[in-house]
Amino acid sequence: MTAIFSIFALFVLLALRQSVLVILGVILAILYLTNTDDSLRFIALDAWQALNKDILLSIPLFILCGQLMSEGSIASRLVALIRALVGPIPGGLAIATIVSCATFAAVSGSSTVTLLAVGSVMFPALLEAGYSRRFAIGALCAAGTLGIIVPPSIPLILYGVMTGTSITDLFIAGIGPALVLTALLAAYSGLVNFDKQHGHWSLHQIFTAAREGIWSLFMPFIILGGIYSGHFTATESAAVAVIYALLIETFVHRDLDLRKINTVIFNTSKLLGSLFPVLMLAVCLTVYLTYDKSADSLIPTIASWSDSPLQFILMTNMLLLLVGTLIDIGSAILIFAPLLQPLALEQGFDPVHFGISMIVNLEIGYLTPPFGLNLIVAMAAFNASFKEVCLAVIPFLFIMVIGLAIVVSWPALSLFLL
Amino acid sequence: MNEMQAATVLSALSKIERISTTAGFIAMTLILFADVVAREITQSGLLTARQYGVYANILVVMFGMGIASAHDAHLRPRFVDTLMSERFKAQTDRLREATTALFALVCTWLCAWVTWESYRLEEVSALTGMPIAPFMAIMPCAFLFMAVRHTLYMIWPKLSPRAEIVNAAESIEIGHPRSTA
Repeated sequence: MTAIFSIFALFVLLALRQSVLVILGVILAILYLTNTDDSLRFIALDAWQALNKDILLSIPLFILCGQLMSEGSIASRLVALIRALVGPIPGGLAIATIVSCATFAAVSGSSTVTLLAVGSVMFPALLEAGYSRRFAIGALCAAGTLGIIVPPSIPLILYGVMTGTSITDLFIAGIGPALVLTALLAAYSGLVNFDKQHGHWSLHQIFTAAREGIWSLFMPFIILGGIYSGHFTATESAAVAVIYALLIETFVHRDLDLRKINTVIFNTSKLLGSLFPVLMLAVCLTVYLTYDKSADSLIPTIASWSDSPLQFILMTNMLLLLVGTLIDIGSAILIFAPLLQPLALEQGFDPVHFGISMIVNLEIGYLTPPFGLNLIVAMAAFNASFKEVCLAVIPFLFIMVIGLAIVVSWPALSLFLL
Repeated sequence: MNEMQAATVLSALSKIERISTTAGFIAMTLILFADVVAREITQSGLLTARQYGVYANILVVMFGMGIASAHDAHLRPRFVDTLMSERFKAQTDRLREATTALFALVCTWLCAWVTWESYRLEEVSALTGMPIAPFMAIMPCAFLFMAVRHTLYMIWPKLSPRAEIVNAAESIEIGHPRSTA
């Protein structure tokens, strides 16, 4: 009966084009009212408990930091240095684009911010150097997605919050897969553009770029070095990174003023206002599922569908690829991570490796039509049609799927540093 | 109340939300940074900093919810946009705003109840020793703002950000842009 009510409510609310917040809230209310003796007040209590956690503090601060750097010039200075270093090798500018995205992702934690920040510098540079427009769009869209697997990544934090997995472990585990994906994308980009070579290495140019980008270069060391050395927690490193970005962009680079800072805070608040209330209700749903033991009853059912861990992981990946084409990664993690992780544990998967596999899988959703976020952002950023963007990402999609297969089938890649 | 007065109310709500989120962000960043600095200097951080940081974050995200509403930035499954008929769009839009307003109103009531209980029981935070109720009150306030906002959108659909987006899209003939939230 509850299932019928919930499905009916889901379809009605979808037909009304409702937000995930309302859909989740209504389904949660139905579950509470029909399956428990608790009143709806307990949802409010659970919601308060969900928000009243210091582990969540790193999310707003990392997003704020990424937005500050995007508005300032840390991104362009990092890109200039990478161009000076790898630009002169065959297909060097293409490789520089991929490496720049990976490097900037290591400080921004966001896929969209990475795409916009690096794209604004590299897209015109690639076209000017004779690279095809289709390749430039595809490379930036694909490499932009590295922002969600290169630590510090907001989706990794969300996964950690929803499943109780150590966020530091997830960050460390993200390094190997991020390097492999970066290498795959860079290798492809270099190979297909092998005939394009521009200039020679110039010590003067490298020195100038390094001098101008020296303050930007400290950023990854502060964020990642602080976390990996155990000096900072993720939250503390986020707070230090925000202050550092603010001071550097305002007083050293002089690219931020009060008006821009105000805009950055406004955009970040809007993003958080759309993400956190959903997170709050998703945590309530997890509390309900734990209380109701629904996940426990799902385990034998799913186990009966799949004969082996291999079959389970294939089914899970197919499901997540499908989910990634339809809904955004934040909602997908909030809804599916607490449901799938217990099943994965039952099948003998490591929680950290499963988390990384899930994030890499959903990363592909950024590139799949019709609702891939990077496709939509690229349309606006590069003034391209939807068809053009979709065609541009096809070769990169294949590479990402190969990367996913490697990450899923090779747990040591994620776990070797733990 | 007429449409112009409704727009004034919406503008006032947005202003309060913007000031609250900005204040929350400044407080959160400074408190957490002060904690790190204090730890570096005195070897022991500020014990209550994290908790106050959490309260500042709650202020940001709850009032940020209103900002997201005002810019149609809430996460939603956009694939249904292409599946639904445009024929009944005006009616379904009103119904959507009505259900959102009702949802927000129920949330206001539930959160207010929980806040009142906390106040009545004189609950205090184990870390700060401060009453929890004033911080809990952020939630019903934010949901009340949301309820008021969507009620006004229901009555005057032209004030809704989705209407603004469609109008803007039509005016520059680029089709329907999607939110990147």
